[in-house]
Amino acid sequence: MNNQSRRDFLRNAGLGLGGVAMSGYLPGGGFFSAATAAELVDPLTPKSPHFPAKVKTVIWLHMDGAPSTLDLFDYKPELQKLAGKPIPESFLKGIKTSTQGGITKLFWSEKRTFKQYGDSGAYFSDLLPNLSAHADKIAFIKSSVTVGATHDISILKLNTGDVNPGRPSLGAWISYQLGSANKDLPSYVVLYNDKQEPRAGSVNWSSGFLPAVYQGVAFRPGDSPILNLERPGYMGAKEQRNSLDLLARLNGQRGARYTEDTELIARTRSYDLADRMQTSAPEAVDLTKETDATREAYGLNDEATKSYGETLLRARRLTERGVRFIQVVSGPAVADGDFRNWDAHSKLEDNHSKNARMVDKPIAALLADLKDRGLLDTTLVVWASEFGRTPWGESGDGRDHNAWGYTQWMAAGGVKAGSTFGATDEIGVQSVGKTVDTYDLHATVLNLMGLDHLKTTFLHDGRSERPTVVYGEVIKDLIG
Amino acid sequence: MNQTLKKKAVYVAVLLSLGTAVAVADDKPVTDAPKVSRAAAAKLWSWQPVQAQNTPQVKQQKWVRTPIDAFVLAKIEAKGLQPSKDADRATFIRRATLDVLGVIPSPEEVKAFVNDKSPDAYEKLADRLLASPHYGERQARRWLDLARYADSTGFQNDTTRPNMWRYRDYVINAFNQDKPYDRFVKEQLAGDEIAPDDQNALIATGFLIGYPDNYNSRDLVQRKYQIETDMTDTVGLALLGQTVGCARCHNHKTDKITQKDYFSLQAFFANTSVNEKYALKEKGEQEKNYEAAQAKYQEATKSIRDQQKAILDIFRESGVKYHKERYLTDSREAIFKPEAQWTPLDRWVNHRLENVSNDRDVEGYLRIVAEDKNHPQHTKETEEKWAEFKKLAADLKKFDDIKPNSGSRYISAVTELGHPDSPPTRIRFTGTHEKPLDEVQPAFPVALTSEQPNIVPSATSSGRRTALANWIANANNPLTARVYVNRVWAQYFGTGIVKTVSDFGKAGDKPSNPELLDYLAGNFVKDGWSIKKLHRQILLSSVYRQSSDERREVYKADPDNQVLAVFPRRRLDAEQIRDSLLTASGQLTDKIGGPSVFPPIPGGVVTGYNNFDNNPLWKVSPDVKDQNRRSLYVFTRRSVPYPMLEVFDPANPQLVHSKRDVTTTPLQALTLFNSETVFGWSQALAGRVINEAGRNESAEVDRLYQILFARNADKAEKATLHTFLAHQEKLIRDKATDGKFAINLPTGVKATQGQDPIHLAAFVDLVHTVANSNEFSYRF
Amino acid sequence: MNKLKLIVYSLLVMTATSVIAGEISIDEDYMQVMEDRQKSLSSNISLKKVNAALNDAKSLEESFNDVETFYVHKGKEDAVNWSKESRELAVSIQKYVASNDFDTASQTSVALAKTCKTCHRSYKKDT
Repeated sequence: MNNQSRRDFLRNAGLGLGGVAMSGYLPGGGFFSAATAAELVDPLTPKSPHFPAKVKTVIWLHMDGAPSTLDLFDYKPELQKLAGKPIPESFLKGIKTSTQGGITKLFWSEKRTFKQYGDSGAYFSDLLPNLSAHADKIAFIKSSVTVGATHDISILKLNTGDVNPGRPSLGAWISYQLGSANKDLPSYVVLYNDKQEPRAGSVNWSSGFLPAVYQGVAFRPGDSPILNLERPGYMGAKEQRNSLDLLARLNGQRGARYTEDTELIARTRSYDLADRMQTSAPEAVDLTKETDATREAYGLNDEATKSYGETLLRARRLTERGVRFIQVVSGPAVADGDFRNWDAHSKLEDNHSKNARMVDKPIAALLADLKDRGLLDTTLVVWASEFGRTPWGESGDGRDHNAWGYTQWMAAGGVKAGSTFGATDEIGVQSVGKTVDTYDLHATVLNLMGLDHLKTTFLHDGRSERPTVVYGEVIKDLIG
Repeated sequence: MNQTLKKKAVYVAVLLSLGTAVAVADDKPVTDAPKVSRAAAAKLWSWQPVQAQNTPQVKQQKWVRTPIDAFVLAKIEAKGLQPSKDADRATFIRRATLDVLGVIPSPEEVKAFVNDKSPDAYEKLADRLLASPHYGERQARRWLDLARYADSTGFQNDTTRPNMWRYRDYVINAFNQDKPYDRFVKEQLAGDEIAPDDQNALIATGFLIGYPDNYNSRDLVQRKYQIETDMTDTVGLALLGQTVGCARCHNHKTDKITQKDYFSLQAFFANTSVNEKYALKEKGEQEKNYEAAQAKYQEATKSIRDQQKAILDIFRESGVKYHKERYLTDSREAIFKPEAQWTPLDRWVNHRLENVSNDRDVEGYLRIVAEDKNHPQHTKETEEKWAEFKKLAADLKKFDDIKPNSGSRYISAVTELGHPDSPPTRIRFTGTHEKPLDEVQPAFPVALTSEQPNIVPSATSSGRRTALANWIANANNPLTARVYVNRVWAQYFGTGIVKTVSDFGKAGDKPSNPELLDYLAGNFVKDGWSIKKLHRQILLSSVYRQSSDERREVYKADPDNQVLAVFPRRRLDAEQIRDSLLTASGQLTDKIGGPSVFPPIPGGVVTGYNNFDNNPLWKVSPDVKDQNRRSLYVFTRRSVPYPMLEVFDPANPQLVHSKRDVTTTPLQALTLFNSETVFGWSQALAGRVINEAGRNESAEVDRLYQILFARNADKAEKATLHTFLAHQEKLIRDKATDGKFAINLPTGVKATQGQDPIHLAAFVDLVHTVANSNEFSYRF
Repeated sequence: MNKLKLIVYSLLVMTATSVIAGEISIDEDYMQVMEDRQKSLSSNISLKKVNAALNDAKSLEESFNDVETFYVHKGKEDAVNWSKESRELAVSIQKYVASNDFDTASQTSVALAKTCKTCHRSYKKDT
C-alpha cells in the first residue's frame, strides 16, 4: 500500500489523525522513517495473500483435554478384539512411554460401535450421530503427531507451534499477514463455553513477538460476550466521537516519543476498534436474530448442547462478518459436572458421551449452516486437539495421552472433502507412514488461506521468523 | 564448532601419547563413548552454591551508585553501549510510587521531591515509600500470585473460604515488618510446628492450604493425594523455582529429579490436614462485628432454622449414612472403621469427612428420596417434609440481606491432627493414584543435595514440614535466595535476570547476568534476608533511575533490552490501574487489612449460589467505602473473576502464578471508556480538580495532569484540550434540543454556583478521556 | 620411546583428517548447537543472505559428518543413514543458495529439519 492510498484509507476510515509523525516497521519486514510517513500506518490494513486463497476464514475447534479419537473416528477392530488383554510389545517399539513395561490392559468400551457413512465411507462412532452425516465434507488426518508432555505445553504447541511460550499463535500470524477483513471487529476472536477463560491461558492466542495488535480477543460466553459495549446513557454518540478523537490525538502526540513501542501503538488502536465494536459487536454476537429453526439446529434448546451451540452460532455470525480466525475452545459439557473437558484418564464412557453430545449436534449444524449460507467453500473448519489418547488406560476405564498417532480433521473450504490422510497401527498407538505434525497442520491451514508458510515471515531479533519455525510441510493430499 | 572438535581431538591425542592406557589402533567399537575433555555433565548452574562476587571494573565508574550498577554496566559496556541518562524527578517518583506502593503519587508528593534540594533526596524518597504500609499491600499482592490465593475453593461448588483473608493480612504485615525472608518461608511452611503459641505463625500456613478443593469429591484418599500434589508443586515452583511437578508421573525429562525424589518431597506433607475452625486467641473488632451481625441473623431466622433442623433430624441418621456410603471404597473403609482402629490415614480421611460434611448432605438425601418416587426409601412423609423444608428455605432466603457475607471468627490453618505419626507416602506408577508402588520417606532431591532431613517430631506433629522449611530457608540452599531476588528484580524491570522466574531448571532460561544474580542472592542473605534492604538497593541504583526514553541505537543493538541500557516501560498491572483511578478520584478507601469485599459487577456476569453452604457467589458489599477498597481486597472467587481486574491480566488463582501477562485488547479500552464505574471516578476526579485548581482552565488542566502524570500539560496539549472543550460543549448543547437530556457532571464540587453545567459536563469528558490515555496506564 | 612416537604420529595423522571416532561425545549440547545452526540457516535463506547461509550449511555438513562417524562406531545403521541423508541435504542446500534458488533451498531446509526429528525419535534421550 503506497503512501497516497494510505492517506485515502485513513481519511475514509475516519480516523482523523492527520499530522502525527510516526515511524515504525512495515508489516512484512522493512522499516520506514518518521520523516516520510505523515500518518499512522494501519497494521491491520487488508493485505493480499501470496497466491489466491481457497478460504477466507478459519474456525479452529480446539477440543480441550484431548478426546479419544479411537472412540470417535479411528475405528480399530483389532483393539476391540484385544480389549482386556495386555498390549503386544511390538506396538510399543520406537516410542518412549511413561508406562513402559507394565502398561495396563487395552480398553474398549462395551457401548462402542462404529459405522461407515457417506460416499467416502468414513467411520464414525455411536458418539457422533449428527456429525457423521457430514462425512463427505471432512478430510481426516489420522496420523497426527505432536509432543505430548502435559496439556498446557501441548496446547501451546498446538496453537503457537512451540512448547515454550513467546511465539505468536496461528491466528496472530494470519492477522499479521492478511490484516483484517472488517475493521469494525477484531480479526482474531477467541470463543469458549466455560465460566472462565480457557485454563491454558491467553498465551494461546498471543501475538508473541509480532506486534501486539495481532493478538486474539476473547469474547465471554453467555449473554454478555463483551462487557461495557454500550456507551453510558448520558454520553451521546457525537460526544463520544469527539472524545475518542481527542484520545487518539493525545496518544499520538505523546506516542511520537516511543516509535518502536508496538504495545503503545496497539493500545491506541484498541480504542478505535473498541469504538467500532460498540456498533458492530452487539449485532455480531446477538443470537436473538437467529430463526427458531437455526437455534434448534445448533442445540440451543437442549441443556447438553446449549452453551457449545451458542458458541458455534456466534462463530458463524463472526464468519459472515469477516473475522479471519475464530478459535473455539471447548468447555465442560456439564457446567458443574464431574468432567472439566475431554481428558478421560478414567470414566471415558461417561466423559465422552457427555462431551461428544455437547459438540456433535452443534458442529453438524455449523457445517450445514455454512453450506446453506454459501459460506462452506470459503470457510475452513478444523477439529484439533493437543494430542490423542492411547488404547490403554491406567485406571482401567480410561485412556492415557497419545502424541504418536491420533486424528484431527479439516472440513469445508478447500479441503479434499471425503478423504482420509494417514493412519495409525492396528490398535491405534502410533502413526504408520507419513505423519502430520502441528507445523504441517499450520502450513496446510496457511496454504488454504493463500499463504506460503515459508514466506510468512517477520524479522525479530535479527532473525527471520515464520509460523512453522524451521519445519512445516503443506500436506497436498488434504487439499481439494 | 568443528575447530573446537579438532582441538579436542588433538588434546586427546596428546593425552594418549603420554602413555595412558588406550591403544587407539584397537578397532573394538566403543559401546559407551567416553565423554572426554568436555566437562562431564556439570551440576545444573542453579544447583551450585551461590558464588561470592567481585564488583566488576567498568569504564563509566561515575555511573555506579550501588554495586548493582557495576554488574549491569559491565554488560552494557560489553555491548558497546552507554546507559541512559537519569529520568527526570517527576517521572522517577511516579515510577517508584507505582512500583512500591501500587498507586500514583499525589501532586504534593511529586512537588516535594522535585524541589528537594537535599543531597539525600532519593534516599529519603525510598525510605518513605518502603516505610509506607501500602508497600506491604503491594508486595503482598505479588506474593499472593505465587500462593495461588483465593477466597473460595474453586471447582464446581466454589465454596467460600471465610478465613483466608487472615493469611493475606499476615502477608501484608510480614512485608511491612520486613520479616526476614527465611523466617517468612519457615512460618508459612511450618508455623504450627515451629511456633505453636504464635497465632500469626499459625495463620501463615494459609500458604499451604490455599489449594483448589472440591468438597464433593467422593474419593477422599485420592483428594489427599491431590492436595499433597498441590502443596508439593506450589512449594517447588514458588520457593525453589523447580518444576518438581513434572517428576510426578515420570522422572523429570530435563532435570535430575526422579519420581522417587518427587514423592519423597510429597512425604513431608503426608500428615498435613486443615482445620478451618481454630479459635482466635483474642477477638478483635472485626470478629465482634461479625459475631454481632451473625447473631442478628441467627435470631431473626431462629424459628425457621429450628424448624428446618427438626425436619432434618428425622432423617439425619439415614441421611448421614447415605452420604457416607457415597464415598469410594477406601474412603468408606476408613469412615466406617471404629476410631480405636484408625491408622494415620484413617484419621486424615475422617477429619476431612468432618470438614466437608454438613446439614446440606442430609438435605440432599431428603431431596433425593422425596423427589424420586421409585427410590426404595421414598415415603409420603419424605415428600411432605421435603416440601415443607423447601418452603422454609424460601422463607430463609428472604433474610439473605442481613446475613453477613464476609468476615469470620475462626482461623484456617494446617493441622497434623494432634499426632506425630504420618500416613505412608508411596511412589505412584505414572503418577496414578490407583497404582501405588514403594513407600518413601521424606527426603530432598538426591542430585540436588546430599543433605538429609532432620525430622524431630513433637507430641502432636510429625516435624516433617519443619525439616523441609529448614532446608529451603537456608543460606546453603542454592535456589531459595536466587529465586527470590530474581522475582524482586523482575518486579522492577519487567523481566527477571532469569526470565523463567519459576523455572531455574535446565529447561528454564539461564541468567542473563549470572554475576549480578549471585551478587544479589549473596547480599540478600548477608543482609539477614531483609527484603526491604533489597528493594532499597534497587530503588537507589542508577539502572533503576534511568530514563525510559527510546534510543534508536540501543533498540538496534538490543531490541529486547536485555542489558537494560534503557529503563523498560511497562503497562500497569490490573491492580495498579484500578487503584490509581480510585486514588486520582480521591475515593480510594485507605484501610489496611480485613475481610474481602465485593464491588458491584456488571449484570450478565454469572453469579448464583454455591451448593455447599448455600451462600451467594457474589453479594455486593453494601458500604460504598468497602467497594472502593484497594483491589488487593476484592474477593477472589475462583469461578467469578472480577471483570474490571480480569480484563487487565490478573493472576490466575488456580495455581502458582509467576508472571503477569500484558495483553492489549479492545476489551480493555471498552472497560476504561464505557464502564459506569470508571465514569464515576472521572466525575469525582473532575470535581477534585475543580476544587483544587479553581476556575482557570489552564490551571485545571495542569492540576489534572499533575495528578495523573506528575507533570503539567504543555502548550500543544492545552491547545488541543481547549479546542476539545469548546467543541464538546457545543455537542452537548445541541443534544439538549433532542429532548432526552442527560449530562455527566463532576461530583464533590464544593462551589458550583455560576458554573455552566454544560461546560462542567464537557470537562468531565475531558478528564475521562485524559485518564484513558496511554500515559496513565503505563509506567515510564 | 619409538612406540610412543609412533602412537603420537598416528594420532596426529588421524586428527589431520577427521575426528577420532568414538572419542567425541555427541551429546545434548552438541546437538543444541546444531539446532541453533539450523534455525540460523533457515532465517538466512529467508533473508537471502548468501554468505551467512552458506556458512551455516557448511557447518551443518561438517557436523553431520561427525555424527555419522560417531554412529558408525556405535554400530547404529539407521542413525548412520539419517546422518548421511542430512549431510547430503546440507550439501544440496549450499548448491541452491549459491545459485540463488532460495525457494528450493528453503524447502530442502525443511526436509533437513524433518530428518533431524526422525532420528530424534529413536536417539534423543527423553524427547
